[in-house]
Amino acid sequence: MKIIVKENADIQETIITINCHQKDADIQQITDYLSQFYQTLTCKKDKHIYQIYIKDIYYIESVDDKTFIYVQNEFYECTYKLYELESLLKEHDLIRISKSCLLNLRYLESVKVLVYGKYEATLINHEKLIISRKYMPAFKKAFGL
Amino acid sequence: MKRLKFFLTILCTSFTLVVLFNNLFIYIHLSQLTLTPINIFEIFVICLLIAGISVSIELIPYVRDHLFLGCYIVMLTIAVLAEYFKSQTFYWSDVLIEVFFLTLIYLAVWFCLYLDDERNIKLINAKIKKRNQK
Repeated sequence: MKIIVKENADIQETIITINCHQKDADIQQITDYLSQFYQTLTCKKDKHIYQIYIKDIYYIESVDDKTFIYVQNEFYECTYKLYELESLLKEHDLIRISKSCLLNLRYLESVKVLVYGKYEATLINHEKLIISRKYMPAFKKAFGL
Repeated sequence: MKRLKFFLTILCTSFTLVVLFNNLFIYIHLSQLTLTPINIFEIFVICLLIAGISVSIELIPYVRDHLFLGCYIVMLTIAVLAEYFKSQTFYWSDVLIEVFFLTLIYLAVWFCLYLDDERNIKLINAKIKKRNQK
């Protein structure tokens, strides 16, 4: 299989074309992954509606019955409940780490044990999140442990 | 409502365990070890206290966030109250000795858990580092 990327400054929207002999399971997997990659979530901020790429979400937090989506340097509010997002986004590397937080494993930099029985996750943007012991088995499972 | 459910769950679970153990003793014919109704009632009061303390510490944010500290407080309070309810004569010296040994055991368990967690976290960090390098 060859991967060819053609750059063109005039193109507004990226189009991916797959040339193959027959559409089989592998091709289906690739197309599923690609369509997942560009899935968006509708959020709002300052009375404006935004479409956020799911791949760009660092973590999702629920505070006082409101759900906030955090991307690299900004955050948005979402109408979905945390448990709804958990089931919606489980295919996107987003995993529950505490009662009020979902973390995107893609942006995880390191994990540390805290002396009082919890864990601290550091993201690549240096934000720190607490991982509860209750959700640690699922977290370890995500890393094949 | 949520706290009431939590309270009743702890109460029912702890009391069910006590009744199950009592039935087990009867089953294996150790009649001298079976509990009398008074003993059962005393145990029920202690179970009630366990549930009460567990729910109360959830209300203190600092203790709620520090899991091991919360468990330590629950353990010590139960031990002291059990000593108070069960003993005919209550001596603070006995309580202090009990607290000392319980603390030692608790620290040993905490240290083992900490080492196990550290081992797992090292493996996870190695996997994250490998993945991030890709």
